[in-house]
Amino acid sequence: MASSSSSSSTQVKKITLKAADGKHFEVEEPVAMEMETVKSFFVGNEDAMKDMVVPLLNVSSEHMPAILDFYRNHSEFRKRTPPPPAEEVKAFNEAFLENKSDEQLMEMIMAANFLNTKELLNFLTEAAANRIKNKSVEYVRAFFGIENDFTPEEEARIRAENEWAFDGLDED
Amino acid sequence: MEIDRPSNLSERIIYHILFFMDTKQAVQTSVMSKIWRHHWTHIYNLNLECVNNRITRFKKFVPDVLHHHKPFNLNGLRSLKHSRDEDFVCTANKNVKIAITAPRLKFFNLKDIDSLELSMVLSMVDFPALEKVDIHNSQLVCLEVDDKKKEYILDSFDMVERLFHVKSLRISLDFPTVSGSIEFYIRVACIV
Repeated sequence: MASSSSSSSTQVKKITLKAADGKHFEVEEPVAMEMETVKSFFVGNEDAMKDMVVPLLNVSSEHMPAILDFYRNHSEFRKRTPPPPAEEVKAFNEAFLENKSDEQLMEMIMAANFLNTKELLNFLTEAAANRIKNKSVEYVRAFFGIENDFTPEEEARIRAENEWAFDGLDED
Repeated sequence: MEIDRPSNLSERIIYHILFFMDTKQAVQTSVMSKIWRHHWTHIYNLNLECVNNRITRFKKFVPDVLHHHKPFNLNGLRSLKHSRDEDFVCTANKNVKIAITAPRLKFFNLKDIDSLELSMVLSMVDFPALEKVDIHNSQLVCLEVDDKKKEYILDSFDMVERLFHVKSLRISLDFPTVSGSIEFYIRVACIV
């Protein structure tokens, strides 16, 4: 992966981002500006200097490298002419999700939501939806870490109310 | 530093995930917990196309979803390809955008919508099922019909006479020549 094309220019401005646990990340300005949250920190805030550290309160440093990698690659995909073949984008996306636990995926979704980047949020939430596709209610409940606070009678009543959605479900 | 856990996902995230799920499964999330009880009714996209291969069940499923769903949040309704034999009523308010590859849509009631795009693979056999369209507060109603077919379509297209619109700024009929195309579009945009 040759993603170091920007290193040729020594003048690429860097913006420093601070993850929730205090760790700093130096990020090229265009990549940082992919995040609406970072962008709005500077836009319309005349006191903000480009050398200020942007605090990202809801993003763990564990996920920052992967998230930045996503932005770098996808902004490169968007700029490239001719556009990259679909397989290349797909391969990157699949590799990105590989070895990510469900919990890590959910944490990254919350990070993407906080960073307010549509592309990453869509990508990750679609991945989450795919992971629970055709799974049982119990599985999905566990996936989201939800506690069932219905009594068995209540649950049965709601099932009956929405009977049409449970109709024809496979039992497994 | 406390970072949110998955169990306190924001509604925005939940709706996002539901958006990518099949509608049938999204509805099933209503039994997961009290908080999830009504989440599915807020999703902005109904994906009904791969709900069930059993068409008889699907015929009941579509109106049920449309009945339970909060219509004002709907901005997408995906292909109803399985409902070829189905007549149903769809009511939608304040939609951002609807794109339907429509089968026999019988009645469409759209209040205060921002934009509507109906693209129908229009065979003359299918189309007359659309009996009535009510459009309120619309800025632009645009009907685009294939040039070659326009006379036939307009003759057979009762809806134009019955098209009911209030406060429309402009209605335009547009006939782009797209040879061989039998697609039909209605576009509606609304004053904010």
